[in-house]
Order: sequence, then C-alpha cells, then structure tokens
Amino acid sequence: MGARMRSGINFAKVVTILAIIFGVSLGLCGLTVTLADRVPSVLALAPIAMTLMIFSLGGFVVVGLVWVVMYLTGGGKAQGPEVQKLFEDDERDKR
Amino acid sequence: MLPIGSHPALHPVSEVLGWVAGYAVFRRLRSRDGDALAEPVRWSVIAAAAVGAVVGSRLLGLAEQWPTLMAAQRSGHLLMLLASPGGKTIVGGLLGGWIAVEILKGMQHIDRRTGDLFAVPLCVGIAVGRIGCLLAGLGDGTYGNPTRLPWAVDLGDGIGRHPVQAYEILFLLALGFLLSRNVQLPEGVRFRIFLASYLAWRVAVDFLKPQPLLGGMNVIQWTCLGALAVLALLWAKDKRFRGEAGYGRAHA
Repeated sequence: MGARMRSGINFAKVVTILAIIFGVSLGLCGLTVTLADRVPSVLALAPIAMTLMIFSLGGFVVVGLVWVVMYLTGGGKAQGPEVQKLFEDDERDKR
Repeated sequence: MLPIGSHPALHPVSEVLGWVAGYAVFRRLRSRDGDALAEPVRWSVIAAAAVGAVVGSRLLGLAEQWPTLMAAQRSGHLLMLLASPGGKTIVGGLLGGWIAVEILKGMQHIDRRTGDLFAVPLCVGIAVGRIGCLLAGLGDGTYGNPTRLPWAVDLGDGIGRHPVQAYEILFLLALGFLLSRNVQLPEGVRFRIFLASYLAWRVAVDFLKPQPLLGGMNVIQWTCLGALAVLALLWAKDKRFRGEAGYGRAHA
C-alpha cells in the first residue's frame, strides 16, 4: 500500500487544492459574518463555509504530515530540483 | 449610476473560477513554451505558492484593518480575532506566495527563476476573482470612494462609488495582454514586471478606497511600497541585468 501511495499521489497537487479550498471558504465565512446584519439570508452559507474550512484545514494538516513523512523516508515525489533543461548550456549561451 | 447591489454568494464562485481560469492559462502557456522545471518540482512550487498565498493574504488582510486589530488587543480578544474568518488581500497573497516559493527554492536548491509562467495566469485569475469582489458589494471591503462620475456603481446603499474592481480588471487585462506577447526577456523578468506593475497599481488605486489610513496611506499601500523597494534592490543586484542580458528565455 505504501508503494502504491508513493507512486499514485501527487502530494503537492493535493496540498494546493486544499489550500485553495481553505482560502476560498475563509473568505466566504468572512463575508457571511460581515453581511449578516444587512443581508440575513447570507447566514445560510455559513455552515457550508465552516464545514469546508474545517475539512480543508484538517485535510491540509493530515496530507502535509503524510507528505513530510514520505519525503523523509524517501518516497515523496519532489526530492530535489530535478531541473529539466530546455536547452543545452551552449545553445542557451548563444541566445 | 449602475445598480449592482450586494451578492456575497457570488464571491467564492468567482474566486474558484479565477483559480480555474488561471490554471487553464498556466497549462496552456506551459505546453506552448515549455518549462524549466520538471513536473513534480513545478507542483512543489505551485503548492508553496498556494500555501504562502493563503497565509500572506490573511496576515495582510488582518493588518489592513489595524484599528480593529488594536481594539481587539486592548480588549483582550486578539486571539479570537486572529482565529475569526474573513479578511484577505491579493497583495498579501502575492507576496506570501513569492516568499514561500523563495524559501522552497532555497531548501531544494533550485536556482532557476520559476515565476514567469505565473505572470499571465495571475493577471487572468485575479481579474476573474475581482468580478466576485465587485458583485459581493459592501461586505467585501474592496469598494471605492463615493463619486458622481457617470460610471459610478450602487452597491446597495444608494451611494454612487468608484468601481475600483472594474478599474483593476481593465488594468489586469491590459497587463496580461502585454505580458503574453512573445517577446524574449531574461528569465524571471516577466514575473517581476507583473509584480512591480501590480504593486504600483495598488499604490495608486487604493487612494480611491475608504481604508483606515496610517501616515496618509493604507497598510496595503505601505506594503506595496516596501515590496517595490525590495524588487528594485533585487533588480539592481541581479547580475543578469547588469551585463548578461538574454540569459534564459521568455516563459522559461
């Protein structure tokens, strides 16, 4: 299972998606709080925003920890710079 | 006066669409122009940028409302305020993302510039996200000062205001168009042009926003000026601009 996880999960992609969901839900939650007095109907969005916030933050922490563990045990995908050269140095110098 | 009203539910929709649009443009540019980084490293850079952006946008968003922050500190509710939702800024997101990527590059010994591929996608993503800011109205905190100009917008309180979000969308579309031109630039310059232009724009346009002032400008404007000074220093110190122009390739 460990090997399968290592080859099948792009942790960076998952962390990115969770961070974006957290950011968006954080903003939505703030808007509902700010506008609650003037537009009471926005309060209906609050439970959705809070749920998204809590789950994305929890997921972020869990995935982040697993990623760190994988990285330390040598299974993380991004282990080094792995720079892919578009041009050979000679060719680049000519440009 | 154009009636817009307040539609806060559309803000997150627009924000998500902004991320999606930015990512679509990024993928298109990456397949067109290639990438100096391998896929896993590029994703690490994107993850660092996203996490840094969330943290940075929140921190500067709180700092922007410094009177509320100080009042919370005086009343002993600072921790509660820090944990409360809401309050994000694009400038904080950009700078937080930038710092996080530089930290990652230092940790992983990446010496290539990584930001050029993000310049145009950021223009598109922020422009789409700003539609949500405009539609969210008064709750969003990004609205403009009152004005009697014919294109003033009514965000639900009957007062005509500068549509500063629309100004910013137009600015970003123009900047994105210029940056998308296939001009050969040294590696890293495209992103720095984007960042410097956006920060300078915010210094100017934020004079049209009713934000708490500190020494004549708001916290975001001071932050933009500080970041512009750092960018100028980096530019001046960069060897590539002092004698090795032509290093790298556009969109590398």
